[in-house]
Amino acid sequence: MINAALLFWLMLKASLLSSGGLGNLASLHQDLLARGWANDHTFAEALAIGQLSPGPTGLWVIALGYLIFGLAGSTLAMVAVLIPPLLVIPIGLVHHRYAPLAPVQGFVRGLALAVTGSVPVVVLKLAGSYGIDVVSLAIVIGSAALIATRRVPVIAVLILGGALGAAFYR
Amino acid sequence: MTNSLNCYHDRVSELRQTRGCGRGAGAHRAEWAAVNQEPSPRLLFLLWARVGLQSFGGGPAVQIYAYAELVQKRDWLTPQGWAEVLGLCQVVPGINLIALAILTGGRLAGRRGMLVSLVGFLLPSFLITVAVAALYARLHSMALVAGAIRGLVMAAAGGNLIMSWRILAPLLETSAKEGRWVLLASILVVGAVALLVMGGRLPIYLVLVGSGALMAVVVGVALRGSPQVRA
Repeated sequence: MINAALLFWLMLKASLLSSGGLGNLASLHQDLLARGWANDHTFAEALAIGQLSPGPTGLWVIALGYLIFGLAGSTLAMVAVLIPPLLVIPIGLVHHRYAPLAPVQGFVRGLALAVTGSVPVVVLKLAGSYGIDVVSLAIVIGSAALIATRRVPVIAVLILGGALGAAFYR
Repeated sequence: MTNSLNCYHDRVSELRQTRGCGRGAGAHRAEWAAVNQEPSPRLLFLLWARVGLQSFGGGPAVQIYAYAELVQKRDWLTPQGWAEVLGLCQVVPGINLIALAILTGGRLAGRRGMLVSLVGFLLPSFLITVAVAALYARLHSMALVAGAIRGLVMAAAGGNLIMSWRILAPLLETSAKEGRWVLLASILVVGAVALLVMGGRLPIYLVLVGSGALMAVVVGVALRGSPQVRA
């Protein structure tokens, strides 16, 4: 049984200590799996739906909220990811034209570095939870290569992946 | 807020004075028409809705698009004003683009500008994301849909790996400019966090706070006595 207040708190905590759209992934993955409220597939599918839908990458948690707790879950997720960026209003009032202090810059960079260390690990674990086979490897490597060229729109790569999946995984 | 608005007006009057020198008349008229549009709440709403709906894949690409719209096409913000806003957005946790919509909206049209930019940016995307999730939740037992989502998961994973690299590279560049110890510490943090997340024993939030604290000390020491360094 999912406790709405606790779910909201876990989402807010993960987003407060994050940087960028996927910064809350590792923390939420750990917390929700520990409580049995989601599994690897739920996370993988929420990320896929988030990527497929327009909007900033960070809106993937809205898909996660929906998959585990319906419309209420997606609304809680929206509010949880909205609160941390709102902090820019008070900071903007104080910091009109000065650069942040060096330790603050360092802390923020440390968070961002930690996110880039954790996201690939979690993402590969989620993809691997479906089992590793030739088709999966080909899609992961192929789409990474296509997106790295910057010549193919991300959405086209995703649709291609979905089409290949529909053709090969049945 | 009013101060920034004055800056905007200064910029427009500066443009009015320099109007008509140098460039082709047609191109200039088109440019001027774009400049001449005041950043009304309605225009801000539409602009951020467009930014939101066109942002697939997220991250740096969306920032470039918003920059093109606000700075290059419309001249609502100066490049310096943009850099200042972006610097502040990188200090707050979570989705930087939400902070960007809030700050630019506020600078251009006060509290209403803030609100409409935020709603314009998020509401359409929120509704579509919920609709896609709801559709998937209904159809996921169909073999075709299950196969498609599995393919999509793999493609999204590949995309996220590249996105992580695109976020990491400029961070390492900044660290490298601050000295080899800062760069070394940065690489160490990325590697250590990857291993700790793989191990899965420590609470992630402690790993994140630890990384932030370590880099706060390292960067704090490295930049001691160099106040001119900006974010």
